[in-house]
Amino acid sequence: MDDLHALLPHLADVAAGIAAPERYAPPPDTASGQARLAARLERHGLGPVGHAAFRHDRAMANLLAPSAFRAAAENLTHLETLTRIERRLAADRIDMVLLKGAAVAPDLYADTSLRPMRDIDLWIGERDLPRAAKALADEGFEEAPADPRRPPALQRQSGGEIPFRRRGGGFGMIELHYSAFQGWWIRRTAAPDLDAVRDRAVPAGADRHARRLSTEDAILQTAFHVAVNQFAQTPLKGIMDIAVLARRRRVDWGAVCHRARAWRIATATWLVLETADRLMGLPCGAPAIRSLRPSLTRRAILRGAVGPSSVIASRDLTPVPLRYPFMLALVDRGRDGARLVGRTLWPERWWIDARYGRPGSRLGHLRALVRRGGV
Amino acid sequence: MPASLDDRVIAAPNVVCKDVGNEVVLLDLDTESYFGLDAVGTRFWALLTTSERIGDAVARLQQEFDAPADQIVRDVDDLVGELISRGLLRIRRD
Repeated sequence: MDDLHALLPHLADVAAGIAAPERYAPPPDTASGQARLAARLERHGLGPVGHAAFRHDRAMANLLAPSAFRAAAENLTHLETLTRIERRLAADRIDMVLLKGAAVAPDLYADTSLRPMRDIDLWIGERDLPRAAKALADEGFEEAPADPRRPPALQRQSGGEIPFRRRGGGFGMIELHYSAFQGWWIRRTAAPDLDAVRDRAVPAGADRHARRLSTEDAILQTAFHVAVNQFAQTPLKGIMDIAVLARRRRVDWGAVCHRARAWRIATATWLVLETADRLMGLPCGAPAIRSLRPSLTRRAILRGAVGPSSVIASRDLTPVPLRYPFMLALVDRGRDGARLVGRTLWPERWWIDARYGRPGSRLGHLRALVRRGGV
Repeated sequence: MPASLDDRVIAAPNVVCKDVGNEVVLLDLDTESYFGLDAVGTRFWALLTTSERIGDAVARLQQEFDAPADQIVRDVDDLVGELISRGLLRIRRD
């Protein structure tokens, strides 16, 4: 077995603060092997937890110390920013739900520095977004330039986000999210009950204004995010989050399955949970994974595209044509897949206007797709 | 040495410390720059910032570490100088 693959269950234990020495996998015994493993851990965003796992192995600890220090420092900065923003949003009575790293690093991982945070993700109600944006501006942030392929009008419609950066430069970015489940894939093919998700959110800690998703919703949201991003952008970080959630909290797997099916994200959820279980182990997750399993044909298509070895090898589907059948195979219901294809090629007029920032034509959109070689 | 053995040094108010295993990272919240200390440096930092005088910290370190006394003084001198120049440590003047 690949040495990184063999190590992952132990890393998940270390990240969760669980002592399970029987799962320890020693590092390679050559300097080149150690350097290669350290580089792979860093590439996957697992440098800090690798540093903690190998703290008794001087060579590995030294190799991973820079990424551990960097994550410790950067996370401290992010969390200091979050404290300040949270205080301001509390004063303005703006509800905020933490997503991704901001939700799990301080609360779930054995140490905040074990889970590198790239930015701060906040789910703000659409009605409160303008006030939240003003609050950020008052705190020294400005809206970052939009990606021309994802203009603000389209972000709102797809449940996307508004990125903010520090005015005058400096470290750290905050993203205000319209939804916990974003993008056109979910908009076209699935139906998460966002009101219920928001209602179930719980305080992120004692005396905290910020809330976090319930455990089951956090698993679903993380799995969705990993799947719909085609397992790109350091998927092992998201998979580690799920593995740590399963170790640290009592998970109602029945609720996970029920919601996954009701929201029509069962296939996407299955794929990520099964991959997580094979890579790191998900305590008590096996029955849920079996229950969510799609048809044999769909499993074959999905496993052909993504699996433990492709994740470890950082194989990115996004630039290859394979991602289109992959995204279609993730759709639970056939007619939703047809709608996804149909609306991708022939979107609504308002979508075209929002996408291109001016009244446009569907034929023009098709020509643009062909020129770009995809969406 | 930018400070004398009779001086007291304290962490700058804009600095936060974070343990990373048995090492420490010092983060300057104003500049967002950080500085890592290995296990030995971490022990130096702990004693320097909790002792009444730098000299007291030096005396303790000379007991704890199996190194010549003047080497300890030089190492403390270097570390204090580095940390002061980076704005992470300050001489406390009461």
